[in-house]
Amino acid sequence: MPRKKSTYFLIALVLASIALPVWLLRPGDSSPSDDPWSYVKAHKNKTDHTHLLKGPFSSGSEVTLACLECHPNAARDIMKTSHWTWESQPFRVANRPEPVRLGKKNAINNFCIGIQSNWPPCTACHAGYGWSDADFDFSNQELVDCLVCHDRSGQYIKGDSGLPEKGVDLLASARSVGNPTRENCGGCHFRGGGGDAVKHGDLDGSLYFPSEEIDAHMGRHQFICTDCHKTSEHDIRGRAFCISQTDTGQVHCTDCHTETLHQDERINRHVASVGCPTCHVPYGAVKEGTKTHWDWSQAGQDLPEDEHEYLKIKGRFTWEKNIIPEYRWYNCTSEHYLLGDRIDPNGITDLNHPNGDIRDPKARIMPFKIHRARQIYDAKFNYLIQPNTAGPDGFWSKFDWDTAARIGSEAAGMAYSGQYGFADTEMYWTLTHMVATKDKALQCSSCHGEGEKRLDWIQLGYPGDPLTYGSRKL
Amino acid sequence: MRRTFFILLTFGLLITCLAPAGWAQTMHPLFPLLDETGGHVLKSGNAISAVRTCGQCHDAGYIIANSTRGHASQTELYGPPFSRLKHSAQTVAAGQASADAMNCFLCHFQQPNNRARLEALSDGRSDWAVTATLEGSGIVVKSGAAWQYQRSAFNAAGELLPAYAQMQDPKNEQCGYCHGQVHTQNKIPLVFESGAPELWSTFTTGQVFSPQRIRESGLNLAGKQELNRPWDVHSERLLDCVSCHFALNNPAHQQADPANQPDHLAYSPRRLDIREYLHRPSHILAGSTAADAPDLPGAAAPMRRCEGCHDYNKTHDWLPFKARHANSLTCETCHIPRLYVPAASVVDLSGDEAVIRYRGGDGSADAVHHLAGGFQPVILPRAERDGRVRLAPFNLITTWERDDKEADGASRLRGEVQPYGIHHTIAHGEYVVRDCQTCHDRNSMLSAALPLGTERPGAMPLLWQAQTGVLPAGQITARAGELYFNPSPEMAGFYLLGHTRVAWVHILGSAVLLLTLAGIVLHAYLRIRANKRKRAGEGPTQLVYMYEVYERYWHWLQAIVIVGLIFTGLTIHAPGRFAWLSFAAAVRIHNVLAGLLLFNAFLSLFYHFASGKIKTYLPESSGFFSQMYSQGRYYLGGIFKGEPHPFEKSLQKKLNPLQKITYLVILNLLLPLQIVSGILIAGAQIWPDLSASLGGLGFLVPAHSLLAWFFAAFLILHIYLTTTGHTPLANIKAMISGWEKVAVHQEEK
Repeated sequence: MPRKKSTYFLIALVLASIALPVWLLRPGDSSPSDDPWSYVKAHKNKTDHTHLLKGPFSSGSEVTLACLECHPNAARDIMKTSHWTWESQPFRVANRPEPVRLGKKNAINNFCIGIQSNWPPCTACHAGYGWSDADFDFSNQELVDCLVCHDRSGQYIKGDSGLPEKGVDLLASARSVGNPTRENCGGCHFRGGGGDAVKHGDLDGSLYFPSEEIDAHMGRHQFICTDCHKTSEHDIRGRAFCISQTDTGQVHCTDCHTETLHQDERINRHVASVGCPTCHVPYGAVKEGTKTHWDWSQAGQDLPEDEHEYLKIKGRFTWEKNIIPEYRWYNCTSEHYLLGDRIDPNGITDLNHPNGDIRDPKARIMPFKIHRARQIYDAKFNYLIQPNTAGPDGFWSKFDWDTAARIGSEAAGMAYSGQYGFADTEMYWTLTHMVATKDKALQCSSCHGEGEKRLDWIQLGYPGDPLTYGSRKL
Repeated sequence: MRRTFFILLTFGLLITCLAPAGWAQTMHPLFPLLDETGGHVLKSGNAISAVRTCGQCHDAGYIIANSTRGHASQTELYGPPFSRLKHSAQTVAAGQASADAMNCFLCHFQQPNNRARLEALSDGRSDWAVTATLEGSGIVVKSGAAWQYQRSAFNAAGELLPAYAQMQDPKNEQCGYCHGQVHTQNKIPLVFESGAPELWSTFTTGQVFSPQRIRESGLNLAGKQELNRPWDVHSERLLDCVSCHFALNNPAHQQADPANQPDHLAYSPRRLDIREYLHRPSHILAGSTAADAPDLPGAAAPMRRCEGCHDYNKTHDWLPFKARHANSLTCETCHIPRLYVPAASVVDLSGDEAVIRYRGGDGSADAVHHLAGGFQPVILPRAERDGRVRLAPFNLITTWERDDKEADGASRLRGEVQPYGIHHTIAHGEYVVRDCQTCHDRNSMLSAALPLGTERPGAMPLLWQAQTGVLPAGQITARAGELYFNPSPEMAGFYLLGHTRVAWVHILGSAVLLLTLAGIVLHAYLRIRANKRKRAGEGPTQLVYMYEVYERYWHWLQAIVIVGLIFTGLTIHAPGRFAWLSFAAAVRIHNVLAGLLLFNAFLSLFYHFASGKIKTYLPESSGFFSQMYSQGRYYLGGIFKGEPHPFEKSLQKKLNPLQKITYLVILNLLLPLQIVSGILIAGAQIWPDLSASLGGLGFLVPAHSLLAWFFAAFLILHIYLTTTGHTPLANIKAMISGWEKVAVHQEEK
């Protein structure tokens, strides 16, 4: 007799016999399966703190204490990070017997040179309160500044030693808190070197509200800093090339994009030797000029002043806009000048040098802004001097290099011979922000052939243009 | 004097050694400039003869003899474009150029002055054209109407100083002087007016050779912001004109003629010594056509075509029917989907002044002040070297002339249409045609009409100006006063799935289907009327397990597959009919279903043989026709009267005689034909020649469609006849459950 079950089974079998082969023999999916958006987290809703904080607050530390009531680990977490320590974990270098720590705390650069003896104006950007001399208490949780990153009232401004400026409404600020915005990060990072766009060449105020011509991620896709600089327990990913030796915790393009995302095999093959920014950050300082040269040796003269050319306290500058980067091999690690390292005063001293060369399989060609300067050094001991600039007896007040060198060296724990001179230094800045939209990326002729000749093949170690001489052999 | 010379020589050598980057440019020896008589131009003040000058070292006779027309006659100003449009006004044939005709400097001097050369030519000073080419370089200065040599450009020995004696391979711009718009200054937006006839390829076809992204050009192009592609990808990838169009005996590119090689030799290393090559470089460049160089031996100058450098197979895995596409299309068809600057469309020579109209813009050549929308080239079949005919992109130019040679004295307008091949302005990536339905659709790119300009009253019909290898597959029609060329690849034997329609197949097919439907409707109506009058007597019945599981399985599998095949086949035939099913998916599913049908047919055939059930399908040897007759009579008469089936269904005899003969025809004729034609259509890419020998797609596909109509008709009839069982649904139910109520015949009791 007819049985319903077997009938259904038959129907299912027939349908399966058809569907299965059709499904199995469907065309392979040729579109790239890696969707960069899958790596981008949705922005969290901010918790309204208006009714959670009563105040009144008479100091930043009081706000911090209030924060810690609900976020007990926050200060402890931030105090492990370089936003607080301004120095690295200890690492070994070839010419030093002891492991060293390096960071903004003790580094020498070729802008304002260094923070030692100059703390108050520099530490305005420290995520803490009251760092005004060498004796700052790095273990005191009350001194952590929560607001600098979390304020959304827009009126929170830090002054000398990182203390809130007079007139800041701490209660309003505390009640406004949320996750960091472009303004929070940019307040310090866009203004490195003491003003907008001075230092990096790829980070400046044009990124607060950029068009897509300035940055594809932030302009076209409305990214904020923390979309790429992902954060866990207040540890924000990303390493500043100027003071980092390794790339542990670095942000990479490949965090979201695959290495073989170009449809063109020829371009994909470039990835083995060329970093993404080389083609996709075709210009640095796209909108705002950045400092490319600084001659401290001319400071102290009574010459006509112009912020972009000459200042008595700082010397002579060059600012450039829409700069064509300089290209170097870079394996994501770098060498750094440490206080006391000998220099050749007649040569050029690299304060931070990207490691890697054509024989290094990990190295890729990357774009850099190179900031060139003439800065003070000890003419007898042949090392760079940490001068005192800010402060009552500093160079900016007295215009006396000798005194400035003496005070600064003492603070830095360095011997000063009493003889000083000026030496050429170079400082490298990776250009990784201000990513252009793909239609603005470099083309073949930007580097190859007789066109723009952006890459100096001989300097990079090639016998000639690899277009005709062939790629590097590893 | 001699000291000065030595100082200069030493200086020159020093510069040579100290400037390694520039070594290539200073390798050329120093040389004096000679006039037509062989005298030094500094002494005579006469015009430079490039042939004399360069002929001091290079074998000028050989070079002239091995030159294409244009290259040997650069002192000739190209006439108005129309003379060349007709390939008629070639003034200098290869090998017959006057000794002074060649202008070596135009292509080999570092910074030739083409503008001055053209000026000299148009002023009728063609004897000074070579000299004018050097104007502005520091060697020659034009003052008034005369040219004066600059003593400072020469050394004491009368040779050009090293800075001027630098000769080189032709740069792209230099080729561009005559051949078309070339622009290598990537940072400078490209701005030009494409109407200049000396930019020949751009004038005739709109081709532009530049690495610049189109959106970065200074032209006023529609949708420019979206054109993030270079003008030509080869130019972007830093290929030069001479990368492909090399001198035929250039030892770097020289290839032995395979026809003259022993079979065992895969590579012949014999080639010219570099010195010999420099002495006698052939100036026939690869890619020259027989029209350019009629004396070329054999099949003109072999150039590496696309497939000579690119392995199509490695980059087109995504493309279904890869080989089929490669056999039917040139690479350019998909890779040059659009031209962006205006190109000539009509050249009217009937009036006193030549009037030229352009397509791709507002009719003018100006893409700077007027918005230019570009145009899609027309696709025409072209006979290729390998003997196949492939579709390739062209521009068509109509030339109107007044014919005064009529006997009655009246002049009449005569028009000609000439195709111009397009090989540059190559796109890559997303700008290449990828969507199947661009071609496989009613509105196929391959059949897109190209306007030929306004209709001219009283004109003779447009003629097709023959060009080697290009087939005029298409028709010239007039619509609302405008002439159009309507390409029809079908006229060259192409059958384009999704586009081509063979009317009679569908008329016949649909007629069969409609007749079947009409018959069924009439039959059903009569049955229903008869049933109302007289209910069929319910005889004694019994349930019989008529169809085993496997029989039901293969039946339904086949049934659904056939419906699916008809359905997807319809979509392939007319894409877009079912919007949710793309052409590509329909093709894919159609092929999978066909495979399934074939597999299932073989399995069931095996089953029927192995179980002996094949007998069900075989007609009895005796009395089969009379049985067929009585079955037919039943369907046409008895069924309405409620007569019993003449042959009651039983386990042993499941099919009545009419069914048997139908299935015999279907299974032995229709199905095999459909399978074979289907396999040959799909297999046209594996065995192109076999398919072609059996009529090609132009026969196979219409045949396949016609058979599909028959299948559809059978299907309807088959389904209708299932309702003639004991009860209307009895047969269908039986085929599902296996059990059927069968009348119990007296004799079986």
